[in-house]
Amino acid sequence: MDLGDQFFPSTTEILSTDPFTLEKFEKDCLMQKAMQELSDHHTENCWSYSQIVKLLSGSLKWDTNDLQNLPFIPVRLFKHLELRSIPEEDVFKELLSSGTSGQNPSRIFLDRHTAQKQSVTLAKLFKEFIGLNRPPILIVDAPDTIKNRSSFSARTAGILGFSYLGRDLTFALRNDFTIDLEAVARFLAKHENEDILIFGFTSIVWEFFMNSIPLLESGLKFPKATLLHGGGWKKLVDLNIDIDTFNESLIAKLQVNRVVNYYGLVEQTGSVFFECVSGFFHCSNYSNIIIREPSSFEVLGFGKIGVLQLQSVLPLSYPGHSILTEDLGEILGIDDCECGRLGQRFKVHGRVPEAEVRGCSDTFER
Amino acid sequence: MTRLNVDFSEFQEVLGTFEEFNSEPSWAIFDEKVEKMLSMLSRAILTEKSSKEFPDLISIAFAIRPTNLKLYRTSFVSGIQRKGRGRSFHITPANVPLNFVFSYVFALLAGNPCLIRLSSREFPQVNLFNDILKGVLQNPEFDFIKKSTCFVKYPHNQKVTDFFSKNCEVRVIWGGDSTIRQIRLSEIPTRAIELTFPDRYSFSLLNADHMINIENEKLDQLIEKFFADAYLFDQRGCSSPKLVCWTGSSANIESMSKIFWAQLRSKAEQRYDLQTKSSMDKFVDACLIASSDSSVLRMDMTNNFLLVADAKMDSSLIGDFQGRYGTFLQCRVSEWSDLELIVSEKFQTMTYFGYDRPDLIAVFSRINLRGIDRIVPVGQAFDVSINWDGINFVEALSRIVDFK
Repeated sequence: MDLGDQFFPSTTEILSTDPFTLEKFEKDCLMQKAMQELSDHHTENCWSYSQIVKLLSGSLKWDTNDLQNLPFIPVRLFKHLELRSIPEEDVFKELLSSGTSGQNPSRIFLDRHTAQKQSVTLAKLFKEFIGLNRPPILIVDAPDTIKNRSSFSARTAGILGFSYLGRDLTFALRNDFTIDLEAVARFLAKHENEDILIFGFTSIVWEFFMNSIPLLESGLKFPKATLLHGGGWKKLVDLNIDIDTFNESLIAKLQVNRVVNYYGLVEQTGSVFFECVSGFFHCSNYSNIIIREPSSFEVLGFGKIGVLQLQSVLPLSYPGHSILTEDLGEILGIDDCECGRLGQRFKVHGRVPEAEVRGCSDTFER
Repeated sequence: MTRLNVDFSEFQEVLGTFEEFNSEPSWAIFDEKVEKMLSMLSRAILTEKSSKEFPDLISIAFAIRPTNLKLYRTSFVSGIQRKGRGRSFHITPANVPLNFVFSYVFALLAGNPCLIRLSSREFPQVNLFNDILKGVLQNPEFDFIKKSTCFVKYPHNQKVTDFFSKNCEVRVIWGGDSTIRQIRLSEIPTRAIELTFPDRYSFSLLNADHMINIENEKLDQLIEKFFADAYLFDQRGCSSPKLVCWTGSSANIESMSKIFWAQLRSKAEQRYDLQTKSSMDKFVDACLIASSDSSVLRMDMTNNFLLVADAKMDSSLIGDFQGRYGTFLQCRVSEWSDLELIVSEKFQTMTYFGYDRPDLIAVFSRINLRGIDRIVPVGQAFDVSINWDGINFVEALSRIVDFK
């Protein structure tokens, strides 16, 4: 099946804009058309998706003419169902992401068009926030993390995604997660006068990099580095560490030039959200976010914390254009950020907490 | 006595000691002292003020009142001697807090010393029960029961389970299919027997023709009872209804089901503590139901307090999909023999409303069902009795001494 641009005029039009240039009214109009285009496409080509739309539209008041009421599916559904809107022979790449260990992995099916749109979009957003042109990249992780490509975690997906945007990929950790001082020193010496990118999972950066005693004792500093991290605060929340402490401590200990946080899901690879200098995640022209009250799924306004729904114009080959995450978030404003970018600015407040389970089953549930 | 080969620090003795338990012999069923102890325990629970907060604790106290004990006893043929099988080891579920008490009480009545693995979770009613039991067991008359009682807690540890399993004559496994599979990795002695409680499926049978004529007050009571059966323990009890089968004319079913679910929804909105994560789980379930096959005709998820899916009678979801947090399938039963198609071996409890008991008994003796072990009025899904899953506990946990 050909998912070429000509079949998705509104989606293509949005993707041709620069990421933070549309004001609310114009963006909502364009976004609505693009989302409708995608919803129709997935309804036609993915049976499971069409059944869900058919049976739940009535009570959830879904309507493809209305951006806020556009059908959405839970992100966890990709762990349970094989959701694709292309025939099997058109699958160019299958992303398998095992979130929490022990669960089924998410399965995301990409055709060439979708994969290409993902990398172009990621590059645009990267350029906007990081600004570096193919920088040398120091990965704060172990080489083995990306070895097993048939089934990888969100961590692996992040590393692979961003690594295409740079060069001289170097791993800062050994496979036992101790710091590889030699490799880091060699990397720094080689790129002494260049801007570099350090990339890693938030908790890995915290635990094995900025608090690595050998690294701190080595006296190595990173004044020309932008440190990009993402992928969940859960571990750090448990340790009672907030974003300010994290950033300040990184700058104080390793003298990195800049710290940037990002938020994104494997289910919507490409349309990720970067944090601006004012400390907000920004929604680009290619995405839209909605906050919902958990018991009714009603839309919540500015400053109210609820479940985060993500819409993205990228997913053509699988019905992931409108998904309800299991993260909590809040929208703080639109087109009004001090950083000058248009669009929604928002914060993420971690995962929906685990429910206390009761029932006859699961004697050994942990 | 078996030599101990497990470090005692690997489990925690909450009540009693393993050593004493391990050296106690069994005794005859319905021992006078045991009955006396249980009667006192029942009274002690009912007179304890804070018990009132826990309907599950009260229900236990009722199940072991002297009148009920007598009822259980007289159901056994006199003249046949029955004795306990020996040391019993019980693995109880993590999530129905007082389920272990059921196992304990009836194993005592069957004449067996009891080693019970409690859930590692903390439940206030469990602590309360254990305190009351401890008090009652202080009575020197009950010394042998005290010695025969050992409650332990330990995180999953096969070595400990191996050890306890080796030292029992009876093993009782609650907690569903996966737990049973896991525990069975630990061998029991060749002479020992095992009782298992696998995953089950339960439903409700409602008579729309009757319901259409009842007063509002009666309907309120029904909703209250149905709510308790379904939403207590997040609908995850094996006897909580997951399916509603309607009988009656299509017109009556159409209008009664609307009223029934609307009222249940508002009851849940007022009374059910719906956690955000449960809403997420429920939405995933809703999508899985919608996309399972073409057997679902209509779904209602006005909000996350209640999800109802109309399924065809031959839907593969019936008997299989375990709704949680207020998720129900519903279907119409036009002929009694339709139930033969629906009911599989997995079916445990059927709760009913709107039928005359004798009529229903006649119907269920006529049709041939592969499953259903309990048929009780709506509101009694969690009631405790000597029988569970079609098994008489005292019978199963005792042996016959054949005197000629």
